[in-house]
Amino acid sequence: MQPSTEKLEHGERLSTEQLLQYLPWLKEIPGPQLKWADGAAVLRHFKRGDVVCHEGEFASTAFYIVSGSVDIFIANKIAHVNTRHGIGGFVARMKSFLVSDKQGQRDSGSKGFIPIDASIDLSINSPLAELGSGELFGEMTCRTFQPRSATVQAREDCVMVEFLRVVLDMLMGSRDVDAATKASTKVKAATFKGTSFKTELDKKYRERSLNNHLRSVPLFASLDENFLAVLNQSVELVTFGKNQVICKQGDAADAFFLIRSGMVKVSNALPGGEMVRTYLGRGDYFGEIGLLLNQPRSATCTALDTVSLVKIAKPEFEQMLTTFPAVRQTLMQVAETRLASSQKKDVPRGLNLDEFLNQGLFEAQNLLIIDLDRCTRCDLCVRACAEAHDGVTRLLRDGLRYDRYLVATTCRTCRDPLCMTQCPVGSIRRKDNLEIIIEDWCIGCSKCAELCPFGNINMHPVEFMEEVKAAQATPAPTPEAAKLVMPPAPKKGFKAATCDLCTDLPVPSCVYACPHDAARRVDPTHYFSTSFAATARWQPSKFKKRTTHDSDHDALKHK
Amino acid sequence: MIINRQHWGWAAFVIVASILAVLLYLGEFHRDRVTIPLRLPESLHRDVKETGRSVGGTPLGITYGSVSAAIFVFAALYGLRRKRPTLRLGRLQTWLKGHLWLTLLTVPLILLHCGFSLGSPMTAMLVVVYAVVMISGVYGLVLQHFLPRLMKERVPLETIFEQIPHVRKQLEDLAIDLRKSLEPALVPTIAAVESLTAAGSTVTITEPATSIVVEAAPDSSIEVMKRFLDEAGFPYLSAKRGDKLLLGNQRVSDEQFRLLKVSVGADWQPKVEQLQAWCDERRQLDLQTKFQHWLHAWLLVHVPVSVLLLIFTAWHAMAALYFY
Repeated sequence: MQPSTEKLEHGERLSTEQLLQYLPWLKEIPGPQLKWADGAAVLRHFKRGDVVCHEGEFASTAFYIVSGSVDIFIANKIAHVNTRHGIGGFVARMKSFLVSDKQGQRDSGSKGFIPIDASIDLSINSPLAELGSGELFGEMTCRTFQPRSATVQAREDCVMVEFLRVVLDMLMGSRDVDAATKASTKVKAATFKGTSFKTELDKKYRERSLNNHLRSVPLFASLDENFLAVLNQSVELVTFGKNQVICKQGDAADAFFLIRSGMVKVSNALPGGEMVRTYLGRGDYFGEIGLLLNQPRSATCTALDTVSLVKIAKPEFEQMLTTFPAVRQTLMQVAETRLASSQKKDVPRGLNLDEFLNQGLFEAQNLLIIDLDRCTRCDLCVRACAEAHDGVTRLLRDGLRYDRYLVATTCRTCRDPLCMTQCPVGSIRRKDNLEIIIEDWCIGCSKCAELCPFGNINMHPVEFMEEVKAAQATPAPTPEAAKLVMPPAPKKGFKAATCDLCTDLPVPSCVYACPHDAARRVDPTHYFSTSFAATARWQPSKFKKRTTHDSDHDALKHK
Repeated sequence: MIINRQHWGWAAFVIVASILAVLLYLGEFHRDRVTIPLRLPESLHRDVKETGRSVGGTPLGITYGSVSAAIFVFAALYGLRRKRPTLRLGRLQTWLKGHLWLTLLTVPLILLHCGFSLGSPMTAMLVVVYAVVMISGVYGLVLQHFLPRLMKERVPLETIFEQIPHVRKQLEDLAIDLRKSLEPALVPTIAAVESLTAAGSTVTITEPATSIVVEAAPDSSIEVMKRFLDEAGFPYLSAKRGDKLLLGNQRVSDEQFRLLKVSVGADWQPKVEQLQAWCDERRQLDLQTKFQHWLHAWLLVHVPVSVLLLIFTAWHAMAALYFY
């Protein structure tokens, strides 16, 4: 799927005057600026059953529903590519195999809902919801050119306005231009403060979705209705522009944040520069460490693009912790895990730093390396990987060389996981053990595969055996609507797959299968520092030569 | 597999087991020559001279033979284990260590089992087959010690072995494209036109003037490039076995390209360097293929003869039991 060259391909082109009829809030925009909206919006009519957009489609527009209602759902099967072991696995591997989340729970860290590019989230069990008139969807696609996160189908005859980013920015404001863009262009970009449309949306969100949003976060699941009502009124809805710092490492902690939309980069300042810890998306939260431990911010959080946040100020946060000790306990666990993972890494010593940095090895946290002095090119590592993953290997015995090691083409669990930055449904995330996991609701848009700088994410062709059962989840309001046939899930599709480090096994299959002790999974900074330092220490000795193999072994044992 | 300090435990075990086996043998069959307290109980003692049996037919000989046969079976199981690399039955590395060291242990055991004699034609054949298996195995082990390192150093452009035909085809296609671009050649710069004119070429500017067609003089760079490509470059890049051709030899190739560089104009130097890089890559691919074959060709002897050894061993065991 490629981005459309014609951004507004269908519908009646709207002049500024016509646009003002459908989006009256634009009257608040000064006249000279408003003329930029001319030709940037079209009026679309959809009949009941028409598909407005498909999940995974690349686009650059947002939709405003003028009248009618739509179903918004995930058509792709909610399942993941299964990995089986043993004799049963051998039989199962005869064909590509998908297993639903119900059959094989992935892990408890799952959000429990599917974040989509609309004002609502979808339930994993029945990924279907309804949007009515006055609703907006496709905001993130419009802002960041993410693929569509869900399929939208007209529930009844609808009229919608489809528009480009300029109109969205006029409505919602916050078209901030970062310093780099400013420096690189001579054209002065306009900035918009936004209109009362945003205030109305915020109000609607507070009325309709905030409680559900809070409730859908496992952290707040134990809060009672009364407290939630209080929280609903006391929280602040804030927006940050692209590259705007939300909180800075070392600053006093004054609030807790829940992400309503957009992506937030969490990073630490280290002597060598900035190190990205992770990216957080809709439904994720941050800022709890400083509040819980009463210490300054442990990381800097920056908006990757326009980010909307739910801000819970310190007094409300503390009151919540006092009233609901269970929340404190959960938060403490999360905070401890995050703190542990943000411990400063060793600065590599004794390495060929140029190569080390050029090959992006410093970014890697868990690298599959193959010792070329030992490897007999028997390809058992690749075969083992394929055997462990339904016949499709996630490892290629090819790549760049660093010293005598081949850095195999497989997931490095990067410190700056770029693959996670543009997933339209937030299905790619990192577990606490560094593993990059692709959730069952992956729509197969391949954005993560494109973003991985090392080509380590594969699109796995899958066949869907069942049709989506989502239509039955929400009873139709009228018999006519009940007749609406949901489009069946595509018979053939894709799911992104990447190295899962064989986390359910004590040793990754590739390493386990190597008969020559050539394949190893290592933290490159630590491993190479130790290994090379040992080599440098021992090599000059004339009397007691110690082979590098032994030093590797020591390094591995030490690890 | 590289034998290093991690193998000391296995090596120690094999040495101790071998010494133990030899001592038992001496204590059992050479009581008159050496006094060794290590021996089988009297009830199991059989005097070879008195009974007229071979050493292999005595309880101790049968034990040695059985242990060796069991090791043969284990060694064969390693081959099966490799077919299912992810089965959690111990790391393949451990299996390979066991395969290496235990089969080495069979050397003293077999020698003691047969009492240093070849016996009948059938057992002699068995020993020969066993020797082939052991020699081929040790040969493979020796190769694995230095070939990977050599391959790493001499084939920096190593690719996935199965991809080699594809990469070769790509190089061949590049050479074809280069050859096509020479006829008629599009001269990229005015400076090149001037140099060609000076060299005696006739230059015609076509309409529209987007390209300049050069009718090259016989001794021009283009002609030299064409000739080189037709006579050496293209045949090498498209050959099934490039090592038999001139450019297959690194030294000769370097010399050929040096001469070519001297023969063409300055504007053609990048093209020549590119062509040289393709030929170098092709040479590395050929070298990789050769290394790959060396690394694994010994298995063509080792594996089938090992199967034969297993069959002969089973036959020998059945025959021995029958006549016992």
